[in-house]
This record gives sequence, C-alpha cells and structure tokens, in this order.
Amino acid sequence: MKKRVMATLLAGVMALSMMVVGCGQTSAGGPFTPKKNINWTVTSSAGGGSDIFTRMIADIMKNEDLVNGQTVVVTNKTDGAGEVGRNEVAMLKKDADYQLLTFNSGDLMPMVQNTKNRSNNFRILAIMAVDKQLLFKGENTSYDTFADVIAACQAGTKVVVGGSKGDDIATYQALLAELGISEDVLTYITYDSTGDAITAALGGHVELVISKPAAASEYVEAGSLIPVLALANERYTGNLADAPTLSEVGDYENVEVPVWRGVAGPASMSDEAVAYWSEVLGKVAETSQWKDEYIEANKLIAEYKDTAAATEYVTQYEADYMKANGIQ
Amino acid sequence: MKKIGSKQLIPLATALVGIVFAVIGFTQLGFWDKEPKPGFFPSIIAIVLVIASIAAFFQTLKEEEHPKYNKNEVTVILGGLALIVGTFLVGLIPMVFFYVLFWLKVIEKGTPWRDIIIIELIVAVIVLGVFAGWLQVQFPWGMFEMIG
Amino acid sequence: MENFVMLFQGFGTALTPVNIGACLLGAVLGLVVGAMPGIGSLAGVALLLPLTYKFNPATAIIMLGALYYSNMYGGAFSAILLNIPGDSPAVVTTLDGYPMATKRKRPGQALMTANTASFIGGIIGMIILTFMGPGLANLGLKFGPSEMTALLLIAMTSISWLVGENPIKGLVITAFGILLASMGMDTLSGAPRYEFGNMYLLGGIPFTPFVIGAVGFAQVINLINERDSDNEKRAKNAKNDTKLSIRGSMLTGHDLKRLIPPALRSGFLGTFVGVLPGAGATTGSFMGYAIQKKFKSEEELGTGAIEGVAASEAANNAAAAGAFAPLLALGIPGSGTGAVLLGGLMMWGLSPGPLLFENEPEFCWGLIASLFMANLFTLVVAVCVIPFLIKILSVPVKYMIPIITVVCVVGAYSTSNSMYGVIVMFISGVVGYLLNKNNFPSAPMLLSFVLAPILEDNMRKAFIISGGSLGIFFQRPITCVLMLIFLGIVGFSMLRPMLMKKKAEK
Repeated sequence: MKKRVMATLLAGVMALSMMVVGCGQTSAGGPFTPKKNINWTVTSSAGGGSDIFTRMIADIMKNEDLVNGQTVVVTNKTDGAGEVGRNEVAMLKKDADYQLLTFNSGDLMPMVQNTKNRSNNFRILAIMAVDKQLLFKGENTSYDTFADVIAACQAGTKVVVGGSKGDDIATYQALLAELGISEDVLTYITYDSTGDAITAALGGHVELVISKPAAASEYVEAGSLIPVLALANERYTGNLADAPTLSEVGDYENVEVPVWRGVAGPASMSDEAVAYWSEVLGKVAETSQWKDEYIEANKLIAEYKDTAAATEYVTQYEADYMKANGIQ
Repeated sequence: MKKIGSKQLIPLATALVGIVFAVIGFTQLGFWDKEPKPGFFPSIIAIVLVIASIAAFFQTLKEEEHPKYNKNEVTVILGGLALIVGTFLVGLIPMVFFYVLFWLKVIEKGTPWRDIIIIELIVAVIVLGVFAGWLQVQFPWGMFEMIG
Repeated sequence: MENFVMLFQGFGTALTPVNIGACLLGAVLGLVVGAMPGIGSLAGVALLLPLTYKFNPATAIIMLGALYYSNMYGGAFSAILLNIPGDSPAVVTTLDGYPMATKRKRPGQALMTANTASFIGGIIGMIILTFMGPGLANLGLKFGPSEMTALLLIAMTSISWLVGENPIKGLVITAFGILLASMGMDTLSGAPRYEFGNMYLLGGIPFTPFVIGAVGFAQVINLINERDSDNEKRAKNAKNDTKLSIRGSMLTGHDLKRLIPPALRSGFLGTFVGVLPGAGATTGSFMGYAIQKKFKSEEELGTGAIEGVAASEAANNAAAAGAFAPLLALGIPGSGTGAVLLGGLMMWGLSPGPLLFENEPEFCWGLIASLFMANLFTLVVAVCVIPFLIKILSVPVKYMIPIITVVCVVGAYSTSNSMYGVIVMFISGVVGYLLNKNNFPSAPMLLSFVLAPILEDNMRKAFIISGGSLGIFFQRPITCVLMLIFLGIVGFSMLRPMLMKKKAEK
C-alpha cells in the first residue's frame, strides 16, 4: 500500500517536472516570442529587496500574460557575494534569449570594484525604479540640524554615520567630497543592512544614519528617527518634508546619488529578444499592480527607462563611479 | 626517529595555513591605521594558529597510538567524489539515482532488487518530492532536460 | 496585567478554525523543512511567503510563525537520528543527541528530550516576550558595538569548555575555524580578503554546506565501519522493538529531573541572546550548551547526556521566541528569517516599526498567542511522529550510507543553488573526517566559525567609533561590567592551575 502511494507520488512528481521543464526550440529570425521557460537569476538571497523586486515582476508577467504563457523561474545565486551568478549570466551563450538578471546599482558597485566584470558584458534591458536617500538622526543625538553637524565636524569633533553597503557608501562619499570634510571626522560605519544601521541609530551608537525613505518611514512616524538632510535635488514630501537639501543648509551643491533597480541579460542575447524584453518590462511598469504594490508600497520613484536609455544611463553611472573610486 | 603520520601532518598543514594568512594579512590587507584594518584580526589569529600548531606538532610526536584508516572509509569518500564528478557530466538528478543504484549493486554486493527499488523511491520522494517539487530548488537535470 | 488581558484577546483572534488549521499546517511543513539539511527556516519562510499573500495578514503570519517555530524542532530530528543538523541551530544538538540515540540506544528519549526542552525553552521565551517584549527590545538596543564585543569575548571563552582533554589541539582548531570564517568579503571595508583570486571565495565559505560536511558527511565516512557489525545490531533492534514505540520513547521521571534545570537555564539565556542584534538562534544554542558545561551533568557532555540535548534545544527555541521582541516592538529583524517576515508584513499592508503594537494590537497579540499555539501544536505533532521516525535507526547501515550521502549532496546544493556548496560540503567532510581520526575536536571549529565574524565586526566598529582608543571598552557601564566578567573568567582560568598546584604541594 505504502509503496503504491510512493509510486503514484513519484509518477506525479516526474510528470510535473517534465511539464515544468517543458519543450520547445529556439526560434530564428522575426520578432522574438518566448517559447519555453525563462530563467531569471537574482544574485542575492530569497526574501531580500532584489528578490521581492524580481518575483513581483515575474508575478505581473504571469498575471497579465505578457510572456506568451511561459513560466518565469527565479533562481537565487548567492555564491561569491553574487559575482558568480553575474558572471554566469554575462558569459551565457546557450539560450541567451531566455536568461534575465536583476541588476541594481548596489550590484554594479561591488562588481566593478572587485571583479573585471563590467556593465558592457551585459545587455541592459530596462531600469524599472529609482530611489534616493536621506540622512536621519536618532532622537537623542546632540545635534539639532545638519548645519550643527557640519559646524561640529569643522571644529574637529568626530561624528559617526551609519549605513548599509554599496549605494549608501557612494552617497556618503559624495557628501564628504561636497562638504570637504575628512572621513576621520565624519566617519562612516558599514552595516550589513539598512535595518542594522537604523538599529544602531535607535540605540544611539551612531549619530546619523543614511537610509532610503521606505526603510525609515515608520521610525519617523514614531519620532525615533528625525530626517535632517535630503540627499536629493528637491525636498521630499509627507513626513520627510522637513529635511532640507544640502544647498539649503549652506553654500553647497546638492548631493544626489540615485539608487536604481534594473534588469539585464547576457551579452549574447539577440537584438530581437532585447527589444522584446525591454517592451515587456515597459508594460509591467504600466500595470496598476506594479504601481500600487511595488512602487507605492516601497515609496520608490517610478522611472522606466527602455533598453537604449537604460544602457546609456548605466554606462554613465559606471564611468562616474569608476572615476570617483579611481578604478581603471 | 618515529615515522611522521597524519597526526603530525595536520598541525603542519594548519601551521602553513597560519603563515599564509599572517603574511597576506600583514602585507596586503593592512593591520592598524588609526583603527583596526581588515588584516588585524585574522593576522593575530593566524599567529596564534602557527604557535599552537607547532606546540601540537611536538605534542603529537609524543603520542603512541596512530589512527587506523580503513579501506572502506576511502570507498565512501571516493563514492562522494564520483557523485560530484558525475554531476558535472550528466546532471545532479540522474546522477543521484545512478549513484544509489551503483552503490547498492556494486559496492554493497547482492542487495535484493526489491530493497533497491524501495531505497530509490525514498530518495525520489526526498529529492524530487520535497527539494525539487515543493521547495522549488532548481537542480541540474542533465539528460532529463533534453527529453521532450 | 494589561499584557495578560491583551494576550487573552490575542487568543481570541488566533483561535478560529482557519487560523488553527493554518497553524497546524505551518507546524507540519516547518518540521519537514527543518529536518531537511540545507533548507533552513530562512528559505522555508521565503518560499512559502508568496503562498500566503492570499490569506488575511493574521492567518498568514500565524502560519509563517508556526513554520519558523517548528523548524527549530525539525532541525533536531535529523541531528539526533542522522547526525546531520537540519539547520544551523541544531549543530550543537548533534554533540549529545546522536550519541544518545546510537551509543546509549535511547533514540526515542533523545527526541523526546529535544522536544520537551524545545517546548520549555519556547514557553519561557514567549512568557518573557509577552510581559517584557518592548522593554527587552529597548535593552537590546543598548547593546552597541562595544557591548557586543565584550559579550562575544565572554562567549568565545566558552569554546575552551568544549575542547575536551587536549587544550592545544582545541586552540589549533578554534583558530583554524576563525581563519576560515574570515575569508570572503570584509563587510566594513567592502573589500575582498583571502579570496585568493577565486570568484567563489569572494562570498566566503558558506556555513550550511560547511556544517553538513564537517558533521554529516564526516559521520557517513565513519558509519561504514559499523556496517560489518550490522547484522548483530539488526537482530538486537528487532528484539528491542518495543523500545521503538511511543511507550518505549517515554522519558522517565529521572530523565525529566535531569532535563528541566538545563532547559530552564537555557530558556532564559536563549531568550536574551535572541533579543540581541545580530546574534540569533545558532549563537543561542552554542552558548546554552557551553553554559551547561559549567554545571553538573550526570553523564559527561558529548557522550549522549540528556542535559546536553536539553541545553542546546531549549536555548535555540527560546532565542527564536526572543527574536520576536525587537521584530514586533521596534520593527528590527534579529535574523534573516525575521527580515523575510518583516517583508511579508509590508506586503500585507502593515507597517512594521515602533508603532505596530499601538496601531495593530489585534495583529500583534494574535501573533504572540499563535506562537504559544504553534509551540503546543508542534510538540503534539512531533511526539506523534517520534515512533515512526526512530524506525530510521533500524534501517541497515549499508542502506543508510547512500541515502545520507545523497541527502548531504542535495542539501548542500540547495543552500545556494550551485555545485559550489556541494564541493564545500565534500571538502569539509573529508577534513572533518581526518580531524576526527586524529583526535582533533571539530565542535570548536564550528563555534568559532559562527562567533568570530560577529566579534571582529563589532570590535572594529567599536574602534571606529572611539577613533582607535581602548577606552570605549571601559567607559560605558554595560561594556565595563561585561569586560570585567571576561577578564575575571580569563584570570581565574589562568590562576586556577597554579592554585591547584599549590594545594597539591601542601
């Protein structure tokens, strides 16, 4: 009896897996339409920001029937801090039209810093959303405004800023450069995540913390974090409206290092497929599910760029970043 | 002069690891510049490792008993190795089933077919049912991917 | 008392048929996910999250909470029966659980011990969470880099209690584990270190495959030596078949007497560790076990002592409960799993953060109540499956070898969807086997692998804050007290041999 149940189960599983694996051949010529499963690589772990971004898009593609009824299989490849997965996608030759990669500014920075992989090893398909940051202070910090912080730093008092990896560091460095203050005075501590950095600010272990609006919003509401500087060219709205931009604080330029979320494919993806994916992602960006459940819920700026605009944008971003960090 | 066995080789190997980590730590990673740098903590630990390894080396020289290695144990290791190598050739899923079959039929001679089928089924339930089916792990299917 | 009333109202929310069903389902799924090596609670919760979007938030979080919670039970099953920790907090459970099941031939009691201790630890954690949750979370906030450094230094001294009779070998292995853990990306500078030009090593050595190999696969290699004496064992098992039933698995009154004190201690300790930022259930179970070394155990720890199983299992369940305090009171996830749950809360339109208790009391107390429910349900489910599970031990060893090897490989693959995990697993298996053969203990390596990176990270953060001055470790009150405790422990253990000698001379 037991055996029969197992056999049935096995047969079921086998049949199911055959269906999932599916069948189909690569097409040649003409406009591209997917005829088999699409693989989508995410180079960070399940449940994180990039993962939610990817699964949301995959879900919309399915709901709106944008990919010819094919299944999008999301795989998290976290080896080598994500570099292995990015490299695999860049090099992929077989079925390159069926391979997507979530590619964010936070992925590009360590990639450029630590490996020889560059954005031109990919086809940049689209940019889906942009985010900016603010500087917050904990409720018990001794500084009132950001002008006080600058004054303290100029007097040689050490002030500690907390933040996450990648994007936050780039913004911090841009801020330092604009203020002309040494990093020994306005010191940065890298935390594993924005959440950890905020925890440190709540405990008073760092004076200031860099965060995107979504992660900090609740703490601002509760009064335990207070926005002191908008790292953007304009003020934010809502409960973040009190924070001035840097040009309002003093005789400085505004500091804005946009954080972008995009999608890329292998270098050998055909032009037809590139055009197809760019368009499909554009359709995704138009859906109300995307606008309400992703952009709105994460307080992001909806900014879809198609493949041409996105490629130009990412190339420029990479060049700027490499120049700022002295990478050849 | 006693023969140097695996008992002595382990501390020698760890000492070597310690030296490599300490050298890289001190020369490339930076030790202290106003605050501890990436090389600070590992370099200190590496030096502890080298000293402890040397002490352990002399200590093991005094020990009488030697570990006995069993041929069967090597078979298990080789089996694991073959499973990994085979995965690169034919994919993980087919290889897993082949490995179980090979192990039971060739290494453990004379396993009845009835038992082999039961074991293959148990493996199928764990690997296909739980890991691949329910938890959606993307395994390399190898030749099964071609079917259809 | 107000909390008590709120909790009761919470039970009102939680105790609907749908929610009870969700809780049961979560408990069963969690047991399975927990028992499968390579898939921890993080992946389990992350994978099930999308399924729960269709539920209402309370039902969804109840299911995920139950799943998260029963994971801690499930991890112990494979640890005790196969010597493969199902998830990382169960690593310590293997130390006594597996010998208790095999050498002492009390598999049922070992599982019962694990479950009972988990239950006690969990209940302690939840009671503390109910009455002191927000306060505890605020205490956790006070633990900054310098406090964590001092606390981890104390924790590291506990490794010396694990090394056994040969301190030099223990030190070699501890340092070796620390160096292995230091490979990969250095978080603070964002630069790679000790990656030797290898792209895979940029991410360091992944812990789960490392443990599956060093504990599980190393065990399989040893297991083959038992194959020849297998026929005998089988006959004996057949005779003792009564032992493999639920009645034969029952704990005696004496067992319970041994189980409860360590479970209580670990329950309190574990809850506290769970609340701290960046610690978590694995650290909790290691510390619970290490503390037990300082207390009297009827049998020596590491030989299959009930006290050892109880200490580690109670601590990790308590830590899992404790981690909910900062999550609910402040919106701070104590672990990766917490972060995923937090992501889930946002998907359901709730805003996790300091206002959650105020704005959504029904939801919060429903969740806490459901944790009590999950704990009870999981215990019941677990106890029911024990008689079936222990049958695993009567499977002939020669059949177990290929099955466990396959589970190790598949589990290691699943942690990162790549063969890299499998290769790490295999190499650590061979290294673990060689270490065992040559009387090098492998437990200190695993402990230092977990603790050292947290220690280094906090120590360096503390120095950045202080500008390189040691003063930070003595000027802050909590840090100073912890530091004095640490120095006291070190001083005492250095002085003790000398004092003993003097006494002996007299």
